[in-house]
Amino acid sequence: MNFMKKHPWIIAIIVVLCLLVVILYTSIARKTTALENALGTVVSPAESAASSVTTGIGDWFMGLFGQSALQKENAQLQERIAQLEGQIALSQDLQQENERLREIANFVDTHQEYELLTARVTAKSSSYWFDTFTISAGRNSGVQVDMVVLTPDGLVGRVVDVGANWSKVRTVIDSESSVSAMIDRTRDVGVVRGSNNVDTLDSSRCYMYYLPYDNDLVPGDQVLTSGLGGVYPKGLLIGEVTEVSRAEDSTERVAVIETAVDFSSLEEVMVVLDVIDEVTP
Amino acid sequence: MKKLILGVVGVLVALAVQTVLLPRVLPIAWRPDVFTAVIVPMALCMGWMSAGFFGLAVGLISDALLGGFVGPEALACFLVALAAGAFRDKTYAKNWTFAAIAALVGRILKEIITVLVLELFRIKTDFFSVVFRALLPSALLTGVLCIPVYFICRHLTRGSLHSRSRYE
Repeated sequence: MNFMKKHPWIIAIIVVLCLLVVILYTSIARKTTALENALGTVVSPAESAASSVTTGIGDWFMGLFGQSALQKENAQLQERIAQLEGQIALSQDLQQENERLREIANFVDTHQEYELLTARVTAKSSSYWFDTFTISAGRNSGVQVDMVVLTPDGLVGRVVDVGANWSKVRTVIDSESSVSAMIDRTRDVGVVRGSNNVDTLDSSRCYMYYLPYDNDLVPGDQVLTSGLGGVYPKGLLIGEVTEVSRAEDSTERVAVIETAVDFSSLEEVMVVLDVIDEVTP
Repeated sequence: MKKLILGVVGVLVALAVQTVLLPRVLPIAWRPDVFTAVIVPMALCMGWMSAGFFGLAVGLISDALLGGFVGPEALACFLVALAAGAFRDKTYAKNWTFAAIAALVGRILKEIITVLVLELFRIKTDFFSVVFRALLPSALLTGVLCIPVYFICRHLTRGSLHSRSRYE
């Protein structure tokens, strides 16, 4: 030890020389030498342990930075998807509105006998006992009480109250509504009324009364306005018969009618300002 | 003046929510009554008079625009405000649970009053058929909707309560 401390350069030269010899020896004889074998045997387990530890730490670090980048990209993509989904929903909404307005325009073109005014449904009643709504047209647009309201699908109801720029419409499914109607197939006449029964809540259903006992009514028969009473023009589609009941001790038959108009999704309606020529179906 | 403006805005908002927003979103059988949900906490926090006039305004407009005739909704709202206002100074009523229960009961009471008025004017109603399938769910939802409104009303009236106690 003293010698090493006193002569460090000597020790260094001796080591370098030994190494050179080993290098020389091993380069010529490419067989694992005993020295290599011994060194490998001692160092290899330690090397394996160190490798496992460093690999785990390295992966952790890589994963940390790598996930941040992925998460960021994920969030950006999700935001983009949400934006695109919003745009799709908006364009679908516009498309539906476009189709509705196109139907109304077609209806106006094919029904020249009516002078029609298109209006938006602005508010709907939440009462269980009245089925009414307000529209965005009133006296200023030529709307008057008792004017008929319809859509391309069929009859909606009539105007019961008018303001300067709004009107209240009572639908055919309102319990206070009464429409003179006829069966398209048999031409028999009756009266269509709404109901306050819980079964008619959130439904587009009404009932036809005062049909003759011997009437041959079947589900699927179409119900039109008869033109009697002077309010509703003849030939407007009210709906379709879904069920018929016959009282045993009465001449009265009652038909359940599913209206052609879906009242739960009314957005635009048409008010008949004038009838130029009545429809003869 | 500030109270009047707040009242007008409140009426418009309540009407818009009840007649424009909710019909587009919820079926009638599951629709809460926004008017009752506002009137009851108003009555509990501010007294029957403020709530009563609010109910009157909102009921009259609703009847005029959408009702069969003007009056039933306005009367029902006013009477519910009167009934709720009777509990204003009760200690047991100064919590959101009571407000929610009161709104639930108020919703049912309002419908009973409306039906009585309509029957009086020969408009046929089928009250018992709607009680379980429509009225009770609506009353429950009204009670739930009343809770945030109660906290808003309490917050709005807290200042006036503090100033009152300062001078007493």
